[in-house]
Amino acid sequence: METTEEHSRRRHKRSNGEHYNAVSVDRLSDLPDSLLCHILSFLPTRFSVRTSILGQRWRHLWSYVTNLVFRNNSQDAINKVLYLHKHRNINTFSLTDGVGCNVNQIGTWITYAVARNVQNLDLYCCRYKIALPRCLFTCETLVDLKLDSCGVIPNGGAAGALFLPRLKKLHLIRLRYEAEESLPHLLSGCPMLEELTVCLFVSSYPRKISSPTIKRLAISLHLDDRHPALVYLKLFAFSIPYIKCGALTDLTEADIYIWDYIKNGDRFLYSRSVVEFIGGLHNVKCLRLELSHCTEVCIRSLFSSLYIALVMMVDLLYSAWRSISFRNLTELKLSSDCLFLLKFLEKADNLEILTLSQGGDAKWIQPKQVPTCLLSRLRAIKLVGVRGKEYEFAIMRYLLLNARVLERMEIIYPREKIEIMLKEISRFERGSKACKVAFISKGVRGSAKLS
Amino acid sequence: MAAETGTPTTLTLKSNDDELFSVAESAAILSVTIRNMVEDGCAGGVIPLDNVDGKTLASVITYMNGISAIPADEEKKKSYRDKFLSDKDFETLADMVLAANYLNMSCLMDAVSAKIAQVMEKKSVGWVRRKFGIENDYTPEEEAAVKEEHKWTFEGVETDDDN
Repeated sequence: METTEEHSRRRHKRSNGEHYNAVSVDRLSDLPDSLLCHILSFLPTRFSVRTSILGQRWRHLWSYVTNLVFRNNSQDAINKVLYLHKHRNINTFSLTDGVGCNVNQIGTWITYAVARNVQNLDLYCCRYKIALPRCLFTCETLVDLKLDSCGVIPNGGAAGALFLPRLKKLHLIRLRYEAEESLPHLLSGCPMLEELTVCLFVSSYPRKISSPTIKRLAISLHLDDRHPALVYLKLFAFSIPYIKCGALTDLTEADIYIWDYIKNGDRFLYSRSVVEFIGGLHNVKCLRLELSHCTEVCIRSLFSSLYIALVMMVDLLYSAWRSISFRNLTELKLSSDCLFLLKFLEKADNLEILTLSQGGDAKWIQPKQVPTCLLSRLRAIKLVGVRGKEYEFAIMRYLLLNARVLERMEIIYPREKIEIMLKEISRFERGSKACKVAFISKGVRGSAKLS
Repeated sequence: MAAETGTPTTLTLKSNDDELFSVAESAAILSVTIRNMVEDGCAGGVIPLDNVDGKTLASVITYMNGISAIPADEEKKKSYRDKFLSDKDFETLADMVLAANYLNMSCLMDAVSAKIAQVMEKKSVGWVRRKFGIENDYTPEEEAAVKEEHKWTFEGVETDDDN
């Protein structure tokens, strides 16, 4: 905000007549301080402090705002704000440090926030040497904790328990862990946890800790049913040697991203661990799965042309799914090879909404019999990033023919493919008379054509 | 409460410029002020809302109906709120924040406050003073001192004063 020309500009406006609603504006200035603070609480702290220039009443108003949000502000500026801040409680403390604040200083700020009963703490620092103060992990008021690229999660063991009695959301993005048991200890101290995001980037770790860290990361993915309140899980995993998971009986929603760039090691065992892990999520209602080439690559490289061998291999790979059913699953967003699609259609009898994004090249194997969900439930299908591959046509043809209660199929594809697509797909036989097929070319919203 | 009979109940709300609006009780009780009136049995006839004009009340009722039709899905509710507020000018937002405050509707209050904050962030001191009806009661010396004290908040700021 600039103060120059302030008075002249105001006179200018007034002489031109008021084109705004003078009544509401007058009343706005009558709002009590608490409501003005509420509005200021949605501003980054730099902007809320700046409002002190508006007038006498506003001079110290910002210092009662309970949200402190620092985006690349200098150490001196942050210290000054914390010194002048008057409210006893901090609702949100958010710090993005791109200017390289002193790591000890960051620890001090966290201690300050904890001492003022912080409920939401969000740190992004790109520094691993930050000593996260112990009090952060015994904070009784924390509800939402996001740590991104900062510090080390301590071990709960000998040094004392980690206990966050009110914590509902936990985001752990690119962190280090003091010991193998650090994450399990932390989770066991969160009796109210509802949402967990774990993002593990092995490649972004310094080389010197590569091997032991990978081991810790693997162990950090052992999720078991000791967390009865867990209902939402978001997991990013990169190059993890194996994934294992106990039963998550109350889990209703999951977002799983697994990128697999492993060049060495037993691909089959790896793929099977992924399949087993996903099988462990079988109680979910809503599932988003991003699995790039997790199973299909290994199968294709081994049995590219032998159909019977392929089918046997699939049975072996999915042996863990024989006795399970995704009976609660109503909404699935899947980015994977065709095998997962096949298996989900067979196992999710109540699936209503299906979104498919492009996986790798793959062979579409038709189910032996038409899956129950196609006969009675599936009403919306969205295919994203359709490239016009043969297997994509095979899937679309199969789904259109067999989905008896389908209401809408949306096909989203790059613009240049528009004509081929329209001609081919519109001719496919439809099992549901009510079904509309919408063609939407990428990037052009609302240009859908129905047929 | 009439809800015991199992049939949807409709309430009649009256704005301070005497416009009457019908709204389903289930949507109207998003307002704690209205809910308290209903629970106290004061909602039999017309509910007068002395601090809200007809234009604003119509908007608030659109919001009440829209948001209560969305099942418990925070993401969908948020995108509804974003869309609902996207075309509102500052004066309308000012009216809505006052109405949300009077009606005690925290979700609307938060959404409108956030939107006002978002608009304010890019504006000059003069613009904010005009729109909030703030009289600059600093002496030039005081104003310079405040600006000096929080110098870091004024550095490198570009403002955009279009409405």
